[in-house]
Amino acid sequence: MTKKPKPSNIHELRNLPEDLQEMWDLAGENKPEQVVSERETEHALASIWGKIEQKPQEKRSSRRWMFTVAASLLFAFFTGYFTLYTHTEIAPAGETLSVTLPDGSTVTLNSSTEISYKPLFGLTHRNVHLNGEASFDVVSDPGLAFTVHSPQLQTVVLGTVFEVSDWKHGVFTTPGVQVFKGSVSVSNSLAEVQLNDNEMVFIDKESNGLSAVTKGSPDFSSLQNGRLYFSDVSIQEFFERMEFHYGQDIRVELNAPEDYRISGSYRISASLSEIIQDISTIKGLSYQKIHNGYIIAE
Amino acid sequence: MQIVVMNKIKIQTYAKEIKAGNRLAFSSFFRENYNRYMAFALRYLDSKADATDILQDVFVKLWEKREDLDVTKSLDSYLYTSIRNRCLNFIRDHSNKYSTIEDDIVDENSVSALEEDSEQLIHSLIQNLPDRQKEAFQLSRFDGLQHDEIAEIMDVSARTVNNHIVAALKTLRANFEKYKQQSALV
Repeated sequence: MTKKPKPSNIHELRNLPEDLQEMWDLAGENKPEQVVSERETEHALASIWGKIEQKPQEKRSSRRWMFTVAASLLFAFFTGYFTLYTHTEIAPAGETLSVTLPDGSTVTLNSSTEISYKPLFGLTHRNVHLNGEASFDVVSDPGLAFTVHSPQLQTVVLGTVFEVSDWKHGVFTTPGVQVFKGSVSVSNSLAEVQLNDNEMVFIDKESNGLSAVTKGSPDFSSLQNGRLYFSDVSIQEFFERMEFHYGQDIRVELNAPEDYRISGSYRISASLSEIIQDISTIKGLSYQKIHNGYIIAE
Repeated sequence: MQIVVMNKIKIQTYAKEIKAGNRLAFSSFFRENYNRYMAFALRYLDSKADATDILQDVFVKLWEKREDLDVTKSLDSYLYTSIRNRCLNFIRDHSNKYSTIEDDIVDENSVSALEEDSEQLIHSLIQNLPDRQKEAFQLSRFDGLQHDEIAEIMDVSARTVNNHIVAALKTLRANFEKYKQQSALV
Protein backbone atom coordinates (compact mmCIF):
# COMPACT_ATOMS: atom_id res chain seq x y z
CA MET A 1 0.00 0.00 0.00
CA THR A 2 1.38 3.38 -0.93
CA LYS A 3 1.26 6.02 1.69
CA LYS A 4 -0.55 9.15 0.67
CA PRO A 5 1.19 12.31 1.83
CA LYS A 6 -1.02 14.08 4.33
CA PRO A 7 -1.94 17.69 3.79
CA SER A 8 0.23 19.85 5.97
CA ASN A 9 -2.67 21.69 7.60
CA ILE A 10 -3.50 18.73 9.81
CA HIS A 11 -0.87 19.92 12.19
CA GLU A 12 -1.83 17.84 15.16
CA LEU A 13 -4.17 15.21 13.83
CA ARG A 14 -1.43 12.72 13.11
CA ASN A 15 -2.10 9.10 12.18
CA LEU A 16 -5.65 9.78 11.14
CA PRO A 17 -7.27 6.73 9.51
CA GLU A 18 -7.57 7.11 5.77
CA ASP A 19 -11.37 7.41 5.70
CA LEU A 20 -11.32 10.23 8.27
CA GLN A 21 -8.45 11.87 6.43
CA GLU A 22 -10.60 11.88 3.33
CA MET A 23 -13.50 13.39 5.26
CA TRP A 24 -11.18 16.13 6.54
CA ASP A 25 -10.15 16.94 2.97
CA LEU A 26 -13.76 16.93 1.73
CA ALA A 27 -14.90 19.24 4.52
CA GLY A 28 -12.21 21.73 3.55
CA GLU A 29 -14.21 22.70 0.51
CA ASN A 30 -16.85 24.00 2.85
CA LYS A 31 -14.75 26.81 4.21
CA PRO A 32 -16.95 29.90 4.42
CA GLU A 33 -15.78 32.69 2.14
CA GLN A 34 -16.75 36.30 2.26
CA VAL A 35 -19.48 37.04 4.80
CA VAL A 36 -18.94 40.81 4.91
CA SER A 37 -18.28 43.23 2.07
CA GLU A 38 -15.47 45.77 2.05
CA ARG A 39 -18.10 48.42 2.55
CA GLU A 40 -19.51 46.72 5.65
CA THR A 41 -16.00 46.37 7.03
CA GLU A 42 -15.24 50.07 6.52
CA HIS A 43 -18.57 50.98 8.03
CA ALA A 44 -17.95 48.81 11.10
CA LEU A 45 -14.44 50.23 11.51
CA ALA A 46 -15.71 53.80 11.32
CA SER A 47 -18.32 53.05 13.91
CA ILE A 48 -15.71 51.48 16.24
CA TRP A 49 -13.47 54.55 16.04
CA GLY A 50 -16.57 56.66 16.63
CA LYS A 51 -17.40 54.76 19.81
CA ILE A 52 -13.81 54.94 21.03
CA GLU A 53 -13.63 58.69 20.53
CA GLN A 54 -17.00 59.30 22.19
CA LYS A 55 -15.75 57.89 25.46
CA PRO A 56 -13.72 60.18 27.74
CA GLN A 57 -9.94 59.91 27.50
CA GLU A 58 -9.02 56.63 29.08
CA LYS A 59 -7.69 56.74 32.59
CA ARG A 60 -4.41 55.25 33.64
CA SER A 61 -4.78 51.87 35.22
CA SER A 62 -6.17 52.33 38.69
CA ARG A 63 -3.34 50.60 40.50
CA ARG A 64 -0.82 52.94 39.00
CA TRP A 65 -3.09 55.86 39.78
CA MET A 66 -3.47 54.78 43.39
CA PHE A 67 0.25 54.30 43.67
CA THR A 68 0.89 57.81 42.34
CA VAL A 69 -1.58 59.31 44.77
CA ALA A 70 -0.15 57.38 47.70
CA ALA A 71 3.41 58.29 46.78
CA SER A 72 2.53 61.98 46.36
CA LEU A 73 0.67 62.13 49.64
CA LEU A 74 3.55 60.51 51.45
CA PHE A 75 6.09 62.76 49.84
CA ALA A 76 3.97 65.88 50.38
CA PHE A 77 3.65 64.96 54.03
CA PHE A 78 7.42 65.09 54.50
CA THR A 79 8.39 67.95 52.27
CA GLY A 80 5.39 70.21 52.05
CA TYR A 81 3.79 71.19 48.82
CA PHE A 82 5.79 70.63 45.66
CA THR A 83 5.21 68.98 42.33
CA LEU A 84 6.07 65.58 43.57
CA TYR A 85 4.73 63.11 41.11
CA THR A 86 6.10 62.12 37.75
CA HIS A 87 4.71 64.47 35.14
CA THR A 88 3.64 62.90 31.89
CA GLU A 89 2.57 64.77 28.79
CA ILE A 90 1.09 62.97 25.81
CA ALA A 91 0.42 64.23 22.30
CA PRO A 92 -2.29 61.96 20.88
CA ALA A 93 -2.24 60.68 17.29
CA GLY A 94 -2.87 63.49 14.85
CA GLU A 95 -1.95 66.28 17.29
CA THR A 96 1.16 68.10 18.46
CA LEU A 97 1.70 69.57 21.89
CA SER A 98 4.01 72.29 23.24
CA VAL A 99 5.18 71.92 26.82
CA THR A 100 7.24 74.28 28.97
CA LEU A 101 9.36 72.39 31.48
CA PRO A 102 9.95 73.74 35.01
CA ASP A 103 13.44 74.99 34.04
CA GLY A 104 11.96 77.12 31.22
CA SER A 105 13.03 74.81 28.38
CA THR A 106 10.36 74.18 25.78
CA VAL A 107 9.47 70.93 24.04
CA THR A 108 7.22 70.37 21.04
CA LEU A 109 5.86 66.85 20.96
CA ASN A 110 4.94 65.35 17.62
CA SER A 111 1.88 63.13 17.14
CA SER A 112 1.75 59.93 19.28
CA THR A 113 4.58 61.02 21.54
CA GLU A 114 4.94 60.80 25.29
CA ILE A 115 7.36 62.62 27.56
CA SER A 116 7.77 62.36 31.32
CA TYR A 117 10.01 63.73 34.05
CA LYS A 118 10.43 62.88 37.68
CA PRO A 119 9.94 65.17 40.68
CA LEU A 120 12.47 67.94 41.41
CA PHE A 121 13.17 68.49 37.71
CA GLY A 122 15.30 71.60 37.35
CA LEU A 123 16.48 71.41 40.96
CA THR A 124 18.40 68.18 41.27
CA HIS A 125 18.29 66.88 37.71
CA ARG A 126 17.16 67.61 34.17
CA ASN A 127 16.27 64.14 32.91
CA VAL A 128 13.31 63.59 30.61
CA HIS A 129 12.04 60.30 29.25
CA LEU A 130 10.81 60.36 25.69
CA ASN A 131 8.98 57.83 23.55
CA GLY A 132 8.43 59.33 20.13
CA GLU A 133 9.53 62.50 18.44
CA ALA A 134 10.05 65.94 19.93
CA SER A 135 11.95 69.20 19.34
CA PHE A 136 13.69 70.80 22.30
CA ASP A 137 14.79 74.33 23.03
CA VAL A 138 16.87 73.90 26.15
CA VAL A 139 17.68 76.72 28.55
CA SER A 140 21.40 76.84 29.29
CA ASP A 141 22.46 75.63 32.73
CA PRO A 142 26.13 74.54 32.75
CA GLY A 143 25.75 73.09 36.23
CA LEU A 144 22.90 70.77 35.34
CA ALA A 145 23.04 68.72 32.13
CA PHE A 146 19.79 68.20 30.29
CA THR A 147 19.41 64.55 29.27
CA VAL A 148 16.82 62.95 27.03
CA HIS A 149 16.38 59.24 27.65
CA SER A 150 14.60 57.59 24.75
CA PRO A 151 14.16 53.86 24.06
CA GLN A 152 17.40 53.41 22.12
CA LEU A 153 19.29 56.66 22.61
CA GLN A 154 20.58 58.97 25.26
CA THR A 155 21.07 62.63 24.39
CA VAL A 156 22.99 64.93 26.74
CA VAL A 157 22.96 68.72 26.24
CA LEU A 158 23.86 71.90 28.01
CA GLY A 159 21.81 74.47 26.10
CA THR A 160 20.72 74.06 22.54
CA VAL A 161 17.94 73.45 20.02
CA PHE A 162 17.60 69.89 18.81
CA GLU A 163 15.18 67.13 17.94
CA VAL A 164 14.97 63.50 19.04
CA SER A 165 13.02 60.90 17.09
CA ASP A 166 12.93 57.53 18.83
CA TRP A 167 9.75 55.48 19.24
CA LYS A 168 9.68 52.34 21.34
CA HIS A 169 7.71 50.49 18.67
CA GLY A 170 8.76 52.72 15.79
CA VAL A 171 7.76 51.33 12.46
CA PHE A 172 7.96 54.47 10.41
CA THR A 173 11.22 56.23 11.11
CA THR A 174 14.77 55.43 12.09
CA PRO A 175 15.67 56.57 15.61
CA GLY A 176 17.85 59.66 15.44
CA VAL A 177 18.77 63.08 16.78
CA GLN A 178 19.37 66.31 14.92
CA VAL A 179 20.85 69.52 16.22
CA PHE A 180 19.75 72.92 14.97
CA LYS A 181 21.90 75.08 17.21
CA GLY A 182 24.53 74.28 19.86
CA SER A 183 25.91 70.85 20.58
CA VAL A 184 24.79 67.58 22.13
CA SER A 185 26.26 64.21 22.88
CA VAL A 186 24.27 61.19 21.70
CA SER A 187 24.88 57.61 22.77
CA ASN A 188 23.34 54.19 22.51
CA SER A 189 24.60 50.88 23.86
CA LEU A 190 27.36 50.75 21.24
CA ALA A 191 28.58 54.24 20.46
CA GLU A 192 28.74 57.89 21.44
CA VAL A 193 28.80 60.83 19.03
CA GLN A 194 29.24 64.58 19.53
CA LEU A 195 26.93 66.66 17.31
CA ASN A 196 27.19 70.35 16.45
CA ASP A 197 25.07 72.87 14.52
CA ASN A 198 23.03 71.38 11.69
CA GLU A 199 24.24 67.86 12.19
CA MET A 200 22.23 64.77 12.78
CA VAL A 201 22.80 61.17 13.72
CA PHE A 202 20.84 57.98 13.09
CA ILE A 203 21.08 54.44 14.31
CA ASP A 204 22.66 52.48 11.49
CA LYS A 205 20.23 49.70 10.60
CA GLU A 206 22.97 47.17 9.84
CA SER A 207 25.67 47.79 12.42
CA ASN A 208 23.37 49.21 15.11
CA GLY A 209 26.07 51.88 15.60
CA LEU A 210 25.54 55.61 15.16
CA SER A 211 26.17 57.29 11.82
CA ALA A 212 26.39 61.06 11.63
CA VAL A 213 25.35 63.14 8.59
CA THR A 214 24.86 66.82 7.82
CA LYS A 215 21.48 68.36 7.36
CA GLY A 216 20.19 68.69 3.84
CA SER A 217 21.25 65.21 2.84
CA PRO A 218 18.61 62.94 1.27
CA ASP A 219 15.91 61.23 3.31
CA PHE A 220 15.84 63.95 5.85
CA SER A 221 12.61 65.03 7.45
CA SER A 222 12.09 67.06 10.59
CA LEU A 223 9.70 69.02 12.70
CA GLN A 224 10.79 72.52 13.58
CA ASN A 225 9.05 75.86 14.17
CA GLY A 226 5.65 74.35 13.56
CA ARG A 227 6.62 72.98 10.16
CA LEU A 228 7.48 69.54 8.88
CA TYR A 229 10.52 69.69 6.62
CA PHE A 230 11.33 67.18 3.91
CA SER A 231 14.52 66.99 1.92
CA ASP A 232 14.43 64.62 -1.04
CA VAL A 233 12.46 61.87 0.69
CA SER A 234 10.67 59.12 -1.19
CA ILE A 235 6.93 59.49 -1.67
CA GLN A 236 6.30 56.41 0.49
CA GLU A 237 8.27 57.84 3.37
CA PHE A 238 6.53 61.16 2.93
CA PHE A 239 3.09 59.60 3.17
CA GLU A 240 4.14 57.32 6.02
CA ARG A 241 5.08 60.47 7.92
CA MET A 242 1.72 62.01 6.99
CA GLU A 243 -0.22 58.90 8.01
CA PHE A 244 1.47 58.97 11.34
CA HIS A 245 1.15 62.70 11.81
CA TYR A 246 -2.56 62.81 10.99
CA GLY A 247 -3.49 59.37 12.29
CA GLN A 248 -5.03 58.55 8.92
CA ASP A 249 -4.55 55.83 6.39
CA ILE A 250 -2.83 56.68 3.09
CA ARG A 251 -2.48 53.97 0.48
CA VAL A 252 0.05 54.65 -2.24
CA GLU A 253 -0.79 52.69 -5.37
CA LEU A 254 1.92 53.66 -7.83
CA ASN A 255 3.83 51.54 -10.31
CA ALA A 256 7.18 53.16 -9.65
CA PRO A 257 6.87 55.05 -6.35
CA GLU A 258 10.67 55.42 -6.13
CA ASP A 259 10.48 57.86 -9.07
CA TYR A 260 8.67 60.39 -6.90
CA ARG A 261 10.80 62.39 -4.46
CA ILE A 262 9.59 65.17 -2.21
CA SER A 263 11.31 68.28 -0.89
CA GLY A 264 9.67 71.15 0.93
CA SER A 265 7.89 71.97 4.13
CA TYR A 266 4.36 71.95 5.48
CA ARG A 267 2.76 73.72 8.39
CA ILE A 268 1.84 71.08 10.95
CA SER A 269 -1.53 72.82 11.28
CA ALA A 270 -2.32 72.31 7.58
CA SER A 271 -5.13 69.89 6.85
CA LEU A 272 -4.29 66.54 5.32
CA SER A 273 -6.63 67.17 2.38
CA GLU A 274 -4.73 70.39 1.56
CA ILE A 275 -1.43 68.54 1.52
CA ILE A 276 -2.79 65.64 -0.52
CA GLN A 277 -4.26 68.04 -3.07
CA ASP A 278 -1.02 69.96 -3.25
CA ILE A 279 1.20 66.92 -3.76
CA SER A 280 -1.21 65.44 -6.32
CA THR A 281 -1.18 68.65 -8.35
CA ILE A 282 2.59 69.01 -8.26
CA LYS A 283 3.32 65.38 -9.05
CA GLY A 284 0.43 64.88 -11.48
CA LEU A 285 -1.19 62.17 -9.37
CA SER A 286 -4.81 61.47 -8.56
CA TYR A 287 -6.30 60.74 -5.18
CA GLN A 288 -9.48 59.34 -3.78
CA LYS A 289 -11.02 59.84 -0.33
CA ILE A 290 -11.72 56.63 1.57
CA HIS A 291 -12.89 56.18 5.12
CA ASN A 292 -10.22 57.56 7.45
CA GLY A 293 -7.77 58.33 4.66
CA TYR A 294 -6.85 58.51 1.00
CA ILE A 295 -5.71 56.39 -1.91
CA ILE A 296 -3.01 57.96 -4.10
CA ALA A 297 -2.75 56.68 -7.64
CA GLU A 298 -1.39 57.60 -11.04
CA MET B 1 0.89 25.48 7.43
CA GLN B 2 3.29 28.06 6.08
CA ILE B 3 0.45 30.51 5.62
CA VAL B 4 -0.97 29.77 9.04
CA VAL B 5 2.42 30.34 10.69
CA MET B 6 2.97 33.57 8.72
CA ASN B 7 -0.43 34.80 9.82
CA LYS B 8 0.32 34.06 13.43
CA ILE B 9 3.55 36.03 13.35
CA LYS B 10 1.75 38.86 11.59
CA ILE B 11 -1.08 38.91 14.12
CA GLN B 12 1.41 39.03 17.00
CA THR B 13 3.22 41.93 15.33
CA TYR B 14 -0.13 43.67 15.16
CA ALA B 15 -0.66 42.88 18.85
CA LYS B 16 2.56 44.70 19.75
CA GLU B 17 1.69 47.73 17.63
CA ILE B 18 -1.85 47.90 19.02
CA LYS B 19 -0.49 47.68 22.54
CA ALA B 20 1.80 50.61 21.72
CA GLY B 21 -1.22 52.65 20.62
CA ASN B 22 -0.71 52.47 16.84
CA ARG B 23 -4.11 53.31 15.35
CA LEU B 24 -3.13 52.39 11.83
CA ALA B 25 -2.12 48.93 12.98
CA PHE B 26 -5.48 48.54 14.69
CA SER B 27 -7.35 49.58 11.54
CA SER B 28 -5.28 47.32 9.27
CA PHE B 29 -5.70 44.40 11.63
CA PHE B 30 -9.44 44.99 11.68
CA ARG B 31 -9.72 45.20 7.88
CA GLU B 32 -7.71 42.02 7.38
CA ASN B 33 -9.54 39.93 9.96
CA TYR B 34 -13.09 41.24 10.32
CA ASN B 35 -14.50 38.77 7.82
CA ARG B 36 -13.00 35.83 9.68
CA TYR B 37 -14.31 36.95 13.07
CA MET B 38 -17.72 37.70 11.59
CA ALA B 39 -17.89 34.20 10.07
CA PHE B 40 -17.01 32.84 13.51
CA ALA B 41 -19.69 34.88 15.34
CA LEU B 42 -22.27 33.80 12.78
CA ARG B 43 -21.73 30.19 13.78
CA TYR B 44 -23.40 31.07 17.06
CA LEU B 45 -25.84 33.79 16.03
CA ASP B 46 -28.30 33.85 13.16
CA SER B 47 -28.57 37.61 13.07
CA LYS B 48 -25.76 39.54 11.41
CA ALA B 49 -26.92 42.69 13.20
CA ASP B 50 -26.42 41.06 16.59
CA ALA B 51 -23.05 39.66 15.51
CA THR B 52 -22.02 43.12 14.31
CA ASP B 53 -22.87 44.64 17.70
CA ILE B 54 -20.88 42.01 19.53
CA LEU B 55 -17.82 42.47 17.31
CA GLN B 56 -18.03 46.24 17.80
CA ASP B 57 -17.93 45.81 21.58
CA VAL B 58 -15.05 43.34 21.37
CA PHE B 59 -12.94 45.65 19.21
CA VAL B 60 -13.75 48.81 21.21
CA LYS B 61 -12.67 46.92 24.33
CA LEU B 62 -9.52 45.68 22.61
CA TRP B 63 -8.47 49.29 21.96
CA GLU B 64 -9.42 50.53 25.40
CA LYS B 65 -7.59 47.71 27.16
CA ARG B 66 -4.68 47.66 24.70
CA GLU B 67 -2.13 48.52 27.40
CA ASP B 68 -3.07 45.38 29.30
CA LEU B 69 -2.61 43.12 26.25
CA ASP B 70 -0.26 40.24 26.91
CA VAL B 71 1.68 40.10 23.66
CA THR B 72 3.24 36.77 24.61
CA LYS B 73 -0.22 35.24 24.26
CA SER B 74 -2.13 34.81 21.02
CA LEU B 75 -4.24 37.86 20.18
CA ASP B 76 -6.25 35.63 17.88
CA SER B 77 -7.23 33.23 20.71
CA TYR B 78 -8.04 36.19 22.92
CA LEU B 79 -10.44 37.59 20.32
CA TYR B 80 -12.00 34.21 19.55
CA THR B 81 -12.56 33.68 23.27
CA SER B 82 -14.12 37.13 23.79
CA ILE B 83 -16.38 36.74 20.77
CA ARG B 84 -17.44 33.27 21.81
CA ASN B 85 -18.19 34.29 25.40
CA ARG B 86 -20.21 37.28 24.29
CA CYS B 87 -22.15 35.21 21.76
CA LEU B 88 -22.95 32.57 24.37
CA ASN B 89 -24.02 35.24 26.88
CA PHE B 90 -26.15 36.83 24.24
CA ILE B 91 -27.87 33.52 23.50
CA ARG B 92 -28.38 32.97 27.24
CA ASP B 93 -29.94 36.44 27.66
CA HIS B 94 -32.12 36.08 24.59
CA SER B 95 -33.17 32.48 25.02
CA ASN B 96 -36.59 33.24 23.57
CA LYS B 97 -34.86 34.25 20.36
CA TYR B 98 -32.36 31.43 20.23
CA SER B 99 -32.86 27.83 21.14
CA THR B 100 -30.45 26.88 23.90
CA ILE B 101 -27.23 25.04 23.22
CA GLU B 102 -28.12 21.38 23.31
CA ASP B 103 -25.03 19.38 23.41
CA ASP B 104 -25.68 15.94 22.09
CA ILE B 105 -28.93 16.08 20.26
CA VAL B 106 -28.49 15.52 16.56
CA ASP B 107 -31.29 15.46 14.12
CA GLU B 108 -29.96 13.40 11.27
CA ASN B 109 -33.23 13.59 9.41
CA SER B 110 -32.86 17.31 8.94
CA VAL B 111 -30.41 16.62 6.14
CA SER B 112 -32.66 17.15 3.22
CA ALA B 113 -32.85 14.50 0.55
CA LEU B 114 -32.65 17.32 -1.95
CA GLU B 115 -29.04 18.05 -1.05
CA GLU B 116 -27.48 17.70 -4.46
CA ASP B 117 -23.75 18.02 -4.42
CA SER B 118 -21.46 16.65 -1.76
CA GLU B 119 -20.36 20.14 -0.80
CA GLN B 120 -23.90 21.07 0.18
CA LEU B 121 -24.34 17.75 1.87
CA ILE B 122 -21.18 18.11 3.95
CA HIS B 123 -22.25 21.60 4.93
CA SER B 124 -25.52 20.25 6.34
CA LEU B 125 -23.73 17.36 8.02
CA ILE B 126 -21.35 19.78 9.76
CA GLN B 127 -24.28 21.94 10.86
CA ASN B 128 -25.87 18.88 12.44
CA LEU B 129 -22.85 17.82 14.46
CA PRO B 130 -23.19 18.07 18.24
CA ASP B 131 -22.34 21.64 19.26
CA ARG B 132 -19.02 21.02 21.00
CA GLN B 133 -17.78 18.74 18.22
CA LYS B 134 -18.88 21.26 15.65
CA GLU B 135 -17.11 24.12 17.41
CA ALA B 136 -13.81 22.27 17.77
CA PHE B 137 -13.98 20.93 14.25
CA GLN B 138 -14.71 24.28 12.61
CA LEU B 139 -12.00 26.10 14.59
CA SER B 140 -9.49 23.49 13.51
CA ARG B 141 -10.58 23.00 9.91
CA PHE B 142 -11.75 26.45 8.89
CA ASP B 143 -9.83 28.79 11.18
CA GLY B 144 -6.62 26.77 11.14
CA LEU B 145 -6.17 27.05 14.89
CA GLN B 146 -3.90 24.75 16.89
CA HIS B 147 -5.37 22.34 19.42
CA ASP B 148 -3.99 24.33 22.35
CA GLU B 149 -5.57 27.51 21.02
CA ILE B 150 -8.94 25.80 20.57
CA ALA B 151 -8.58 24.35 24.07
CA GLU B 152 -8.12 27.86 25.46
CA ILE B 153 -11.10 29.23 23.53
CA MET B 154 -13.43 26.40 24.50
CA ASP B 155 -12.01 26.14 28.01
CA VAL B 156 -11.26 22.42 27.81
CA SER B 157 -8.04 20.37 27.53
CA ALA B 158 -6.19 19.92 24.25
CA ARG B 159 -6.89 16.19 24.51
CA THR B 160 -10.62 16.87 24.66
CA VAL B 161 -10.28 19.08 21.61
CA ASN B 162 -8.59 16.26 19.75
CA ASN B 163 -11.33 13.85 20.85
CA HIS B 164 -14.03 16.25 19.67
CA ILE B 165 -12.41 16.64 16.27
CA VAL B 166 -11.88 12.93 15.75
CA ALA B 167 -15.45 12.24 16.90
CA ALA B 168 -16.71 14.92 14.51
CA LEU B 169 -14.84 13.31 11.62
CA LYS B 170 -16.23 9.88 12.53
CA THR B 171 -19.78 11.23 12.71
CA LEU B 172 -19.34 13.06 9.42
CA ARG B 173 -17.92 9.96 7.77
CA ALA B 174 -20.71 7.70 9.03
CA ASN B 175 -23.48 10.10 8.02
CA PHE B 176 -21.84 10.76 4.69
CA GLU B 177 -21.73 7.01 3.94
CA LYS B 178 -25.31 6.57 5.11
CA TYR B 179 -26.50 9.34 2.85
CA LYS B 180 -24.53 8.08 -0.14
CA GLN B 181 -26.13 4.65 0.27
CA GLN B 182 -29.59 6.13 0.58
CA SER B 183 -29.24 8.23 -2.52
CA ALA B 184 -27.83 5.25 -4.42
CA LEU B 185 -30.98 3.34 -3.56
CA VAL B 186 -33.27 6.07 -4.83
